[in-house]
Amino acid sequence: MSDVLYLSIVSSIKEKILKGDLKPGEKLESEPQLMKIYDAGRMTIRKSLSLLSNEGYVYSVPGKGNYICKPDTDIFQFKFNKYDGLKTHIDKVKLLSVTIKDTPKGIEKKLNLEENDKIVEVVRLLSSKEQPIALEYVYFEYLPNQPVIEDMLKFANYLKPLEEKLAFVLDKTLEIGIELPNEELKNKLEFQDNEPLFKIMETIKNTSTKKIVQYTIFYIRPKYLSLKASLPKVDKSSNIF
Amino acid sequence: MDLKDYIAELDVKNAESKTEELISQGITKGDLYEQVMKGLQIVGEKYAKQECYLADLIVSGMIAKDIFSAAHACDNNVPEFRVQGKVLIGTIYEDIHDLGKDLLIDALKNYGIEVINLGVDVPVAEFIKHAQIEKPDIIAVSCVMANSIPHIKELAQSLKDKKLLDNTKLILGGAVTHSGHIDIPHIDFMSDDLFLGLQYCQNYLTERYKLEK
Repeated sequence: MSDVLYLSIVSSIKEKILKGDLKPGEKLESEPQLMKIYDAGRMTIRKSLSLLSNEGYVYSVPGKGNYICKPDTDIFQFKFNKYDGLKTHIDKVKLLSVTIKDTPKGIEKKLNLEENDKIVEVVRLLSSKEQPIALEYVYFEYLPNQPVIEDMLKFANYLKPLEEKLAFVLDKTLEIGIELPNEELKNKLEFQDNEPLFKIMETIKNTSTKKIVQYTIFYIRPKYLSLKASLPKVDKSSNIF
Repeated sequence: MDLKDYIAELDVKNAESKTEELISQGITKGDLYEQVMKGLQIVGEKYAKQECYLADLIVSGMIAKDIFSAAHACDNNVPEFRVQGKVLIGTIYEDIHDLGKDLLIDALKNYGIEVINLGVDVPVAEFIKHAQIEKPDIIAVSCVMANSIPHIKELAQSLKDKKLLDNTKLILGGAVTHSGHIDIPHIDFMSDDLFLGLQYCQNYLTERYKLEK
């Protein structure tokens, strides 16, 4: 038990939940009851409850009381990073082309653009130990007076600085599929059999401007990627008390 | 705003609707041509002053191309945007860099110039063979790797000997053009700046074919 009263109340209630003494959906004792059980003031109990609520153990229904959360067991999360989350180390990223074109069919919807809008298409080949393992198509809207091509020629990951700057407003969505490669993919990835590829489509949206910043299609040979997901864990290390 | 201003602003949508408006008002092909060229020129000047970038240069070409095909679609008397002329292009033997070459190809095509792309790692004999078949106005060679310079020298000499440069310009692009002093005979122009390369081709071909407006 912690020396600080509200923290020891938190761990006591948490223990009951984890042991199953308090079951998901069950109602927690009322505030006056808790005050009695733990011999604590109302503010202390509220502080404990709010911490438990932050950590996802309880929720409160105004006027009714506090309940034990029913954790969602079919939401999984996984960490994904194209450049250093693969089964092998990427040692070379080659820029194959930077092209400005009319938005291709299918892509315009992804970027919320119209058919005649111009987009920038960047194609990059990722290799490991001289072996090409993944091919990436990046699309974003052409905006006048930006040195996109110049920057592309200089930096492999053009959006990285922007991603870091806007980390809190960028919303990313991933969609994962499996696709048989066409001839272009086979040639660029240098293999001939009909091995299916992972197709990972990433949409990056700026939530404050509601604009789609970038849409990426990432093809990777299956032997270089495995996806492992688990139930979301609450990170307690950064809680502010 | 005029059409030329929309092009200069790289405003694709307004350039398009302005074109439609001008066409419906019966603009003459000479006036249309002039506006587009003026717009392209402003973009070029901005690029030279570093107020806009490569992407803008390419898009301005795309806008021009779209305008002329719209005008052509409405009235067959309006010629398609075409700086007549043909460029044969490739990356020299033992060099596989193609980014700069491909950007120039896109830009040239947007300016209505016919481009024959031989790809990368092109042997001298291959350049010669296609120069004989295609009779291009310009042969453009791309080279990034300094160790390929001897192949360019061989190509230049060989083209000269076979009298394939009598009616054809030979130009060189890529990083080797600024790697110290390189001395290659019979080269008419060289630069590692895409815009300068594009401008050279455009000016030379326009002059050569004296476009009828």
